[in-house]
Amino acid sequence: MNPLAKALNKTLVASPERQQEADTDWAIVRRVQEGNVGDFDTLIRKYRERVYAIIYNMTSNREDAADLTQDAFIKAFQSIHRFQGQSSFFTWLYRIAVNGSLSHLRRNKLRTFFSFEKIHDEEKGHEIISQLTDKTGGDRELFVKELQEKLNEALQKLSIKHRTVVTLFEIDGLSHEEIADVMNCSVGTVRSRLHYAKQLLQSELQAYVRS
Amino acid sequence: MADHSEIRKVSLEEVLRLKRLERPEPQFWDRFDKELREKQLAAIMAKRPWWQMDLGRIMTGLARARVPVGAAAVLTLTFLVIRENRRPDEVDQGAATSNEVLAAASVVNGDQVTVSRDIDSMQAPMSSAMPVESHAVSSVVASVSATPDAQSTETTYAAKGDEHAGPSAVGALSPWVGTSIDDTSSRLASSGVRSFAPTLMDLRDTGLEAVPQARGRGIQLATLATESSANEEPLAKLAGPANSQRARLASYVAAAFKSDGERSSMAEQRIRERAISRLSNDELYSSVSRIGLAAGGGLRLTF
Repeated sequence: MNPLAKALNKTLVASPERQQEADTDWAIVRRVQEGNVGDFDTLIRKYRERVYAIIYNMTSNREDAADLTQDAFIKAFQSIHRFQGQSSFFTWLYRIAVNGSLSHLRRNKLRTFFSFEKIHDEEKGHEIISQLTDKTGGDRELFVKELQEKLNEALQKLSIKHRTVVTLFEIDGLSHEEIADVMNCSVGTVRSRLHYAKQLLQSELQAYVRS
Repeated sequence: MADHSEIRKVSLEEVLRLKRLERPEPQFWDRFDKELREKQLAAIMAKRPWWQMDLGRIMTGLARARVPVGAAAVLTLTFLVIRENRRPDEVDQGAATSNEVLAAASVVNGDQVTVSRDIDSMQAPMSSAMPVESHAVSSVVASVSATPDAQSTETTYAAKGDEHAGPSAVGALSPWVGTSIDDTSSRLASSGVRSFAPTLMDLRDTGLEAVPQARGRGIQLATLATESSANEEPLAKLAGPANSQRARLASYVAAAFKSDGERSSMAEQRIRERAISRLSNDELYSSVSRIGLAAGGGLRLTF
């Protein structure tokens, strides 16, 4: 990685762990660019779940999310010779995935069909649900299902850009700077969108969340 | 439907964190990998259109070289702007340089420059284009030299650069060269005039005499400059093709006299010279057109 790209990359990557991850990815990308295309499978296995999660939370449709995730990896594979390391690989890959999802959502603006994944009620999820209700058994499952639907409905009421910001920040855990890089906008815009989106979600989910 | 009164509220961030728990089953990824492999192979085998294949590489290459290309464009633009807006005194300097070269050439050729009739015919339209800027009308007078020993079709001019340090013969004959370029550069508005201005400056500085050295039976062409009145003839105001037409007409008239020269007396010659010199451009044009010279017809000219 050239010094300029490295310096720029450091400003975009938030934590040291991310920096180390970016260096590792860059080494793999260089090998793929040199002709070892089999190494791209390493990147697929590493990022498929995260990319799928982003697209799924944006589309709220598991079939569409699977297709768009595959398309994102294929596009990344076809364009990998153009990747110069000016940002980290996962930022670049996220950008491809987010842009593909935005195009898909704009194309199918009128077609809204949801299909949700099952909430794996363990660890942290169990704790949150236990905080929400004392119910057990069938009533608990019913409550979780209802909460999931309400949550996804509230997210779908947001505009595409606001939904993307909320998804990247609250669900995937990206920093403001990384989101700005992925969405090709300023950090101020990201903060503004996030604030507005949270206000809307708060009013939509007021039965479940405290103000 | 859950009873909302029993729900203990949590923060929005905690509710949103529940979305992280929406994950597909492990067997989903097996199917995902298989489908991705198939799509990847199909994408490799599919022929991509040229604009996706080549344009991307071209754009990447241009993006790398954008600084040198931009710098070259700026330099070229600057050069063109400076060249277009060069002041007349700078043009004089350029003309002086070419004048030196021409003077050296004249020394080599025994202080004589031989100009073919083609060049003469090229210079005639330029001198006839002068009135557009300076309100001066040049008329061409053709006279026949009856010297029998020379049949040359060339007209020899003497180059006397040293003797014509001031306004030279050409400069005197065409006053606009001395006034319009040297004094009022603003008159050189059109780029066309500006483009051949150095050539005219060369002519003036070299001191070419338009008065011919008639040693043979050739055509003597003398260019006389006369101050025109404010209301010029419309034909004289036209530049370019009309003036070249005038030059052609003059050469036709000269050719007509040449054919008649043997049987004409000196008195008749003088009368013809006077008549032609008094002819206005319109009259000359209409006369020649009437007898069919412009169409390449007869060469006899009678008044």
